[in-house]
Amino acid sequence: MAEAIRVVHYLNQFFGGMGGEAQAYEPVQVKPGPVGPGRALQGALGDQATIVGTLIAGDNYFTEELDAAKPAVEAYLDELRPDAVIAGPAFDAGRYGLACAEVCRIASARNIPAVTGMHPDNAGILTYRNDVLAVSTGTDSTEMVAILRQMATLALKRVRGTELGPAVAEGYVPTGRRQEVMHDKYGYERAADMLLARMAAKPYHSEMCLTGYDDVTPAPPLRDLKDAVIGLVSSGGLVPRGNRDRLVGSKAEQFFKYDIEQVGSLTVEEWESVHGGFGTLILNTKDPNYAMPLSTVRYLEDAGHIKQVYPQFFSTTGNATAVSAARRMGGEIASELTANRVDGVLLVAT
Amino acid sequence: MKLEVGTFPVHDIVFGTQTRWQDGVLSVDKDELLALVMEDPYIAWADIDVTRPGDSVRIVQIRDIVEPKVKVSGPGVTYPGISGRDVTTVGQGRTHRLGGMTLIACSEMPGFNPDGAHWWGTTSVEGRSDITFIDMSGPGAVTPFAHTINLCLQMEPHQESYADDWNRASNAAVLKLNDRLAETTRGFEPHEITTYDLDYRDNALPNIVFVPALASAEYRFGPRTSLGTNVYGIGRLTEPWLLQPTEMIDGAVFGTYMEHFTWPIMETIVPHLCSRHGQEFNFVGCIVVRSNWEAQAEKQLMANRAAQMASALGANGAIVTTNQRGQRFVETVLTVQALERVGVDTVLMTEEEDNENGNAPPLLMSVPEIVSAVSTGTGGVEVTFPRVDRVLGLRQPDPIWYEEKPPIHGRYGVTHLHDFYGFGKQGCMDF
Repeated sequence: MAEAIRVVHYLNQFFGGMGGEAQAYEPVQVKPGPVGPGRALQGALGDQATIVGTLIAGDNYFTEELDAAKPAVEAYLDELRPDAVIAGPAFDAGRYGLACAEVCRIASARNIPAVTGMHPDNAGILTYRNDVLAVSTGTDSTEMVAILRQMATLALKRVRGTELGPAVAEGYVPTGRRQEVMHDKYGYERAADMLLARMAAKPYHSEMCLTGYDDVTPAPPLRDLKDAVIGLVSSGGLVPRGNRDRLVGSKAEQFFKYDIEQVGSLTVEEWESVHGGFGTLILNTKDPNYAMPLSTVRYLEDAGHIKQVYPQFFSTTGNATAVSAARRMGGEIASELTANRVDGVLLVAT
Repeated sequence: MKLEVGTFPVHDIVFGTQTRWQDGVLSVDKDELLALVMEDPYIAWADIDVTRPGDSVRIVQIRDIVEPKVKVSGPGVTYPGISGRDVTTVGQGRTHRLGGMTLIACSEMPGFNPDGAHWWGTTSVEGRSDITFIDMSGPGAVTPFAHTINLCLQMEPHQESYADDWNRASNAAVLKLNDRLAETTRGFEPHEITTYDLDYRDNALPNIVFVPALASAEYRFGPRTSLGTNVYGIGRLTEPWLLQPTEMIDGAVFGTYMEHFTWPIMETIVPHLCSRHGQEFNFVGCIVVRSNWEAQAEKQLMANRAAQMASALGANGAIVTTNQRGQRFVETVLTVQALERVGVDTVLMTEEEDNENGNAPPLLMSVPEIVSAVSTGTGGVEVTFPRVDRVLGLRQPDPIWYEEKPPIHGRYGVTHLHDFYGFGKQGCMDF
């Protein structure tokens, strides 16, 4: 028989049997074999895997002293050489969930398969959704044994390199990754079935977990525009006529900067829009300022309502742009503007 | 409304000296059909070809796909309002259809309209038409039209044509063929009759509505444009339309928004929901939300009006779809939200965006009210499309059309399947 799979289990101070909040600052420590819920986990793993050690740390210690906790976990993993790491389950305990997620990330960075368990709204998931394989739990720790069984199953699959099915079928929290599958039924049949189940208050599984949206807090308004340097950013595909940089009409991955220090207004002789997502007829034959109102901003500058227009404007095409490209370009434009002490930006959406 | 749909199965289409349907074989007098098409002075050249499942054929430059249908009793004509057709309310009496086949209109689109407005794609660096093709065999034969016998009407406009005019001409031509071919069934008893009796209601069952958001091309081509999806021939932005499901089956929505066809509405989702009417739910209506409004308030108002209509119909549930993502998706999502807020359980079915390896969410926008969603995938087809022997759609296809085509990675603006209505079994799931 092959050698049993070596598992390291992570628990917080409470489940590790050290105590409650009073022990929340306990540093990372190891105990041999399974501890507390680890015994049930060992039962679930059966003779296929052995818990060779249990790491325990206080919840506050792990989250507040992360710089010390991480190397300690790393050192213990190097020493115990596990084939898999199982953390928790943490249910809805936020600090514990974060610690479990951190432990899993440390293991993953060492190519050790890691599984945890927690509520889908646990801070551990909200912070590290993409990095963590977590059995989806409720808030009721009396379900512990069933959860541990699921965690054991997933951990063994991961160690053996078995490809995991969709989150809903395997019982883990979606990691943000979407993958195509072939269903047994057509989409319109599934839609009608799902609707019938919902109307009858029967269980159903939505095929989309709508997470991963950036929650952007708008910047506070500028107190006084008179002292403000204003930057101009446009996704309207505006370029000097001829498009020397070959800005694309859709799916842009680049932005360009154009000098406008001596420009009072955008004219159709000098400028054009190469945007492929809307009718550019008016912009390109009448007035490009609709896509970036330079003439108006210059008026405000001359009248002293704003201090200055930043001498370059940033231009890209906002049409079928990938989220990751948009995020990167936005970050780069923002860094450059802030480094050059621009106070506010007029971003013209198209 | 009560509609009988009589099906005349088409197992093969052959060219002959007479145009007629007999025992599952549609015989086509090509000269007769071409003469009909060439009556229109806009059309400079036309040809007709047949392709069957399994052929080494690629159909390109697809303008629209329709199933031949004719009304043999009851008011109106099929595909009403298009290119000057009668706008009498359809959806009653009996419609004959040629089942198992489609009519596909193919042509290159002129790039511009008289006012200089350019047709979609003409300024994009990557043209959408490059990925809208139908392979009839091989691993890429994944669209429903790879499984039907297709009569391809290939046309060329005169050089000086404009996009909108050409679209009218193309629609008129394909509907002339529709009428001529489906007309062959008049006077014969269908192989099979399906009766959609939507007047019958079972009060013990929940009521559902189908709410497709259909993009209008008005923002780009003006209110009288024929481009985009039309309702009884009207493409402009209007408040939501209330249509009976049987009107949809008779072709009350018609036309393509870019290359997003209405065939799946008429031939898949609406007949499917009709087939479950009176058994599992009452299918009480279709609410067509026009999308592409320019202001947020307009989008919100249309969503609110659709929800108000659903309420007035006594709907308990709704299936909401879209036919183009991007800004059109705002109306779609707001409609889901508005329906949920008036207490209508709503399933959103849609194609989704590229996940970018876990870095991007599935939909352009989301609201907490979206709790039941069906994914039809990203529109991509991750297989290589092998080289083909024959290309249909153009008089002289560029040699590039014959070549092997790389896999298509689905994302916004890149959809090969155009599956907004769940005609396929593919879908993305969370992993």
